[in-house]
This record gives sequence, structure tokens and C-alpha cells, in this order.
Amino acid sequence: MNMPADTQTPTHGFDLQGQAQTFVQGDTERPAKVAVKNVDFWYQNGHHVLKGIDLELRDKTVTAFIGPSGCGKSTLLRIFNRMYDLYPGQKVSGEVLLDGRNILSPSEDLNQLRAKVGMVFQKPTPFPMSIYENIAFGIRLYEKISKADMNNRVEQALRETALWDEVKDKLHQSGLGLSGGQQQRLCIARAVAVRPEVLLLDEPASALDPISTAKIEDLIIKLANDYCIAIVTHNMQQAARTSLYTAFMYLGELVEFDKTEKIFTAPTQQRTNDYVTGRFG
Amino acid sequence: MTMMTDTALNGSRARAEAISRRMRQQDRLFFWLTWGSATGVVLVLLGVLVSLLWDSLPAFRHFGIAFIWTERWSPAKDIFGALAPIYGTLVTSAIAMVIGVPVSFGIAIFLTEICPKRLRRPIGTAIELLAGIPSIIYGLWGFFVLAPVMQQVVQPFLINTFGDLPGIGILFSGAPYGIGLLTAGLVLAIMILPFITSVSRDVFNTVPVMLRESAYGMGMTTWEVVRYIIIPYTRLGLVGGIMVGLGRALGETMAVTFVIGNSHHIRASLLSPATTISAAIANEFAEATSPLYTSSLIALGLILFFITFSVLALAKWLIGRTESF
Amino acid sequence: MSIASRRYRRNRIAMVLSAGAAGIGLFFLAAILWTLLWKGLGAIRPSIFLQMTPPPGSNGGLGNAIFGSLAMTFVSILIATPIGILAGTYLSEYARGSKIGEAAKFINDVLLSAPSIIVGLFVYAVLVVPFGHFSAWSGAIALAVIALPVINRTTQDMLQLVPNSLREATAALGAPRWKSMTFVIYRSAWSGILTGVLLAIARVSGETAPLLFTALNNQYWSTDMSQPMANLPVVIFQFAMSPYDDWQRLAWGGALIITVAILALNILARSLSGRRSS
Repeated sequence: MNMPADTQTPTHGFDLQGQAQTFVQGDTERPAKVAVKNVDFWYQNGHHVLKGIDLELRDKTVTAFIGPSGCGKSTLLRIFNRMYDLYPGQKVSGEVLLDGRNILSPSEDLNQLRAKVGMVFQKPTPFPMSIYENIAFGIRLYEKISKADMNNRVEQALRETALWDEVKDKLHQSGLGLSGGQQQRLCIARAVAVRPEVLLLDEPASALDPISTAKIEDLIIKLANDYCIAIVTHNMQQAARTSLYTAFMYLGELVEFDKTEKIFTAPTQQRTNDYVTGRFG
Repeated sequence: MTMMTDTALNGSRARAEAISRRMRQQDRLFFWLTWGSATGVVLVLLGVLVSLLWDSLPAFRHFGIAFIWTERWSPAKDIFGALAPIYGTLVTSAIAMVIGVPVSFGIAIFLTEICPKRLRRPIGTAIELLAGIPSIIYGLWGFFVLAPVMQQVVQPFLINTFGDLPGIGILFSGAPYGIGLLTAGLVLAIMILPFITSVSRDVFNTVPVMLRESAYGMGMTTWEVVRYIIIPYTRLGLVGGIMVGLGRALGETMAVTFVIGNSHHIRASLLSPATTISAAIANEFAEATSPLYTSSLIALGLILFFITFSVLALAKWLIGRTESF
Repeated sequence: MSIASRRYRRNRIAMVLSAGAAGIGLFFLAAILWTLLWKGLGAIRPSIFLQMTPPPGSNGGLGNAIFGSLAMTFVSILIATPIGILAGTYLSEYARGSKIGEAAKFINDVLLSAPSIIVGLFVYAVLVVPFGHFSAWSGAIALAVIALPVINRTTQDMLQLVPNSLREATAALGAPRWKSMTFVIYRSAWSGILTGVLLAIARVSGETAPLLFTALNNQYWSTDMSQPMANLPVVIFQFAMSPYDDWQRLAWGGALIITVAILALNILARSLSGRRSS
């Protein structure tokens, strides 16, 4: 099986569209940030959607989750910030350790957890307020800072997401007026502005055009310098381009989890091979 | 983060703890506020029910359940029966439905199938504005404009045309008073138009475009599409719409009070003055002198409440069944 | 006659009838509005807003009744809006899909469709009888009981339209529920909720039946909410049924004022909700 050159896994650093990359994902093995131990999950209707998941997300590294629709990859992502708790009746077992602490424990403070584990969704979800307020909202939740500091934080978040130059003249206009791609980058800016430790991206580019998608992918690679990132995607090129590790899931099970390069070039499982070569899914 | 000293880290952790504790408290407060408000709504309804039951007890104790089917209503002798107002309520609502339902369906068909797109919004809005006019205005208009027309034109015509026919003649006998069951029913019919129209229009719009188009594609005329596709498809929803209108008509007070004539006698003729539950309460409650009189009027209210409640429950059930298709 | 031409003829008849039905609806709307203008316009002069309701046979206006209606409507909306919005929030956010929630929703709908005169009887029993006299407070509370289920229901419907992704996105930042509601979810639904409040104002400001034996009426200028208070609908009712010409004229003037105000509110509410959907 031959992979085209541009989909090679990024183990040797990037040089995408002239951006100077200061780091290289995976040049040294990062410590585990999130450890998933034997996690099972059931929907309200009793449907068993995740079965015995075991894996680790490494710090300052992108881990991609791929697999056909309904394989449970989004569900798994939503366990990392306990998003499923918004809906009654869903059940989880096992452990998810964030820096060694089990976040599935009933005593876990969900608001604090979610401030540490940011999430970006499939469709852009700008709040009905100005661009500035969209970002300041999250910061204000946990920090009391001066106006000047806030301005800096907002600018910093927008610069991190390469949005600053596009919006600096309209910070006080509604976030709903931006294009789809800009809205999504605003949502990423909003998530990183609160300085989380983990960033969950649930198909962040699937609703966007190719140019916006490319920008989001560049952004993900850049953000990997600072965050532990988990991304769910349908797009295998995207997984190959952005991630260092890839988890292939099928029918609620983790079929294979390894370095992205290995998953795409020399998978050990037949099903993985079939999926990444487009034979099913 | 990693550069932070241990003490700074502990400090920020303590601060985060304090913030989340406050958040949890505020969240609990917010939850109980919303819970309390929702409970308040339930308590208000319970209060309505309990106060009606409690205050109507003297009447039911005194007259027994026969209160419901006794016609006699004599404040002077402290004898009260609910039959005439119940009869008037049911008959005026029936007249309103007979006139209002076909017209409402006609409007809904017009608005969804025939009307040029450009005119749909303005005409639809105009019809819905009928729902915004306060009921006292309908009463005024019914009394000062419609009743004279009824007295001078419509009722003499009905009496001359149908009065002598066997059977139905009795419905159109007697003198043309202008006010009475028929006029009240007509005013109610106008008042319920916008309600039935808007529900019907909504359920007509639930017919899948594919179904509609394939029917037209077979060469059906507009009427045939309405008659054989849209109406059967939306049957239950339409009945639900009728029930919504019926609920309105049964409980309407001011519009009826003006034009009903306030007579506690049951006569067969639709042209005769009568009364309804709500009109009797509106007219007599402030003047009710004896406790039994007051209690009897409240007992009327309780009966009305049960009637409208049953109609609403039926409507919910029917509309719920269409939605679950 | 061929089958085809019979079908077409039947179609034409049905079409004409349904267009006729629309015509009937529009005719009555026009007839009512025209009557109001014709009979009411003559009574509209500055004095109708400034002077008090007169004894029969002398000049006067509806100043006290207009004030009373505004005051009682204002108080009732002030009471019903927060409770209605919070109750709607509970039903849409906390009790969605639960059995208790469904029951509470149904109860709200029962209250929504309860005849307004029954609300009057209820408030009479719990607020007028114990205090021994009619009062504007009891009138305002009766109106609040009518406005409450309207606002509750619209809030539920409007919150239901806010996509869940927005709730998740706010939660994902670590925002507590109440902040998510007040800063994000209400903001997304505000025009719809405001529409509901406007419709509730329109509904209660024309209500007569519940005021007949709560606020009653008052011939004089009064700003004391614990006393009976004049209000437009009851004054219109009383004056219209009277045999005096000048009272009847004032009744028509009042009817015109109240209808124009309410229709304006309706149109405003409609344009707000239209803006949302576009």
C-alpha cells in the first residue's frame, strides 16, 4: 500500500504553507496526560456503545480518533469532559485519569473539569454576543482580571488561532456575523483562551470548506505545542496530516491504537487496513 | 503552568475551589428558583380547582347533584339550577362550530393551496389579527351592529323561510329579538375563526411536499388533492384544531354577555334570548346577594371548568396522535 | 358532461368557496375595525385622556380608566414575566422529557385555556373575600394568572428552539448552568421570549371578565392599588350597556383606543418573531 507523500505522518516536523514550525510533535515521547482504563458506556436506552476502551493521550500531542459513523468515537470524546452528564440516564464504567485523578468519580466538579478540558464542536457555536465577549466570557468565569489584561488575553487567543488580523477591527460586532470558518476558529480561540490542558475537537472541520479546513488543520498542528489534543474526524487525510497517534474504532471497540504512521502504513488488524484503504466505512 | 511554584499552584487551586463552590451554590439557587416557579404554576391551577370546589359545596349540598339538570333559576326564592346556562353554553358553541369550522377550513385551504405567495402573509396576518381583538369589542360590535342586522334582516328571513316547516321550524320560531342564541353563536363563530384557521394551516403544512406533488403529478385538481390527500392525512390534527376553537367558544364571556339576552329559560328556538355559564357569572356575580346564590354561580364556574378541561384534554390527545405519525 | 369537466367544475366551486371563506374572515375584520373608527373616532380628543369618567349627562374622559388599565397590566406583567420565564426554563431545561415535566406542561396548558372568568372567580375567592373589598391588586393578580401560562408556554417553545450545541458549548467552557442560561441561552431566545411577553400584554390588557369582580371600577381618579380601580374594559362594558348617549360615546372611544393599542402590540410582536425566523 502506497500513501501519497503529503499524507505522511508528521513525525519529522512540519513545513506547511511556509509556516515556521518551532516544534516537532513526537520528537520526544511525551508523558501521558489522559489515561483511559477499561471504559464502557451505555446510552439511556441501554445501548452498549463503548466496550472496554483502554488508551492513553499524550501531552502536547495530537491523537486522532477515526472509524465509521456510530463507532463510538464522539461518545468517547464526550467522556473526557463528562459532557454526557448533561443528559440523564447515560451510564459509564471504568476510569479516565487526568493527571492521575479519576474524572469519572461522582465527586468530580464538572465545571472545573470542563474548564481544564476544552471542547470544539462539529458545527461552529459562537455565542450570541460580540467577538470580544465570546472570548472574554470563558475567561471571566474563573478569573478576575483587569480590562487591560483581558484585552491582552483576547488578543492573544485570537492571535493563537490566526484570527486576529481578520477581526481586530470588528471585535465588538456579533460573532454570528463571521464566516463559518472564522466562527469555528473563534470557537477554538474561545476554548484556548481559558488555558485548558486538554483540547477535544469533535469533527471540527467537517462543516467547512477546503480552505477553512486547511486553516483549522494548521491551527491544530500549531496548538499541539501547548495542549494535549484529541480530534475525532471522518477525514483520514486529516487524521494523517495532524496527528501523531491514531485510534481506530469500530462498533464501540478500540480496534487498533498506535502511531499514526503505523496505522496508515502498516496496521496489524485487517479491519483497520480495510478502513484506511477505503474498503469500507 | 509548570513554571509555577508549589505555593502559587496551591493558591490558584484554592481559588478555583472557592469559585466552583460559589458556582455550585448559584446553580442550586437557580434550579430552585425555576423549580419554585414551575411549582407555582401548578399550585395556581390547584388553587383554582380547590377554591371552585370549596365555594361550590354549599350549592351542591343544598341542591344535590340535581343542580346540574334543574332548569329553575330564581334568585328571589333562592332556588338555582344549572341546566339553562349549560344548555346555552353548549348550543351557542355548537352554532359557532357549525358556522366557524367550515369557514376556518376554507380559509386554511385558501391560504395554503390557492392564495398567491405574495398575499399569503398579509391575508394570514389579517385573519390572525382577529384573534387579537379583545372579546369585549366583539360584544360591543355584536350588540350594536350585528344584533340590529339580525333583528331586521336575518331573523325575519329565517322565520319566514323555515318557521313553518315541520321539525326544524321550531328552531326558527318566535319574535326576532336580535339578541339570543343564534347571534351569540355567530359572534363566537367569528371569534374562533383565527384559532381553527391557524391550527389547520399548521397541520396542512405538515403534509410532506412529496406527497402533495405526487398527487398533483397524477393530474389531480387542487380540490381533489385537498379532499383526498391533505384532509385525510391531517384528519386528527384538524379535529384537534376544532377542539381548540371549541374550548375558546365554551369559555368566552364578554362577547356572549352582550348578545345572549340573559334569560334562564330554555326555549327551543335559536332566536330566543338565553344565557350561558360565563354570561350568567359575569352578569349576576356582583349582584348575588345570598351566599347560596354566590355558591351556585361558582358551581356553574366549576362545571364550565370541567367542560373546557375535557375539551382541552381531548384536543391534546388528538394533536399528540398526529404528531406521532 | 364529461368526467373531466365535472371534476374541473367541482374544483372551481371548491376554490371559489374557500376564497369566499377568506373573504368572510377579512370582511368581519374590516367591519369591526370600521365600526370602531366610525363610532369611536368622534370621541377621541385630548379630554378623553385627561378627564375622569363622568356621571351621566356631563362631560368627561377615560383618564382614570386608562391609567388603571396601564397600572394593572404593568403590575401583572411585572409579576408574571419572571415567574413565567423561570417556570418555562424549568420545564424546558430541567424537566425535558420527564414525566413530571410533561404533567407540569399539561397543567400549564390547562391554565392557558381556562376561561378567564374562572380566574376572576378564583382571585375573588382568595384575595377579595379575605380582605373584604375589591382592589386593584387583586385585579392585577387575576391578570397575572392569565399572563403567566402564556409567558411560560412561549418560553418553553423558544428555549426548545435554541440548539443543544449551544448549551454544550457553554458547558464545555466550564460555565455553570445559570450562567449558560442567562448569558447565552436567554440571549439566543430573547426575541421569541419578548414576543411572548408582548402577546401576554396584548391578551391581558383587553381582559374584562376577570376584572369584573376583582378590581371592579372606580368613578374617580385613584392610584391606590389597594382600592377598587377604574379600567378600560370594565368601563367600556358598563358605559356601553348604559342608556346614556355620552357614556356610550365614551365607550366607543375607549374601545377604539384599546383595540388600536392591542393590535399595535400584536403587530410589533409579529414583526419581532418574523425577524427571528428570517
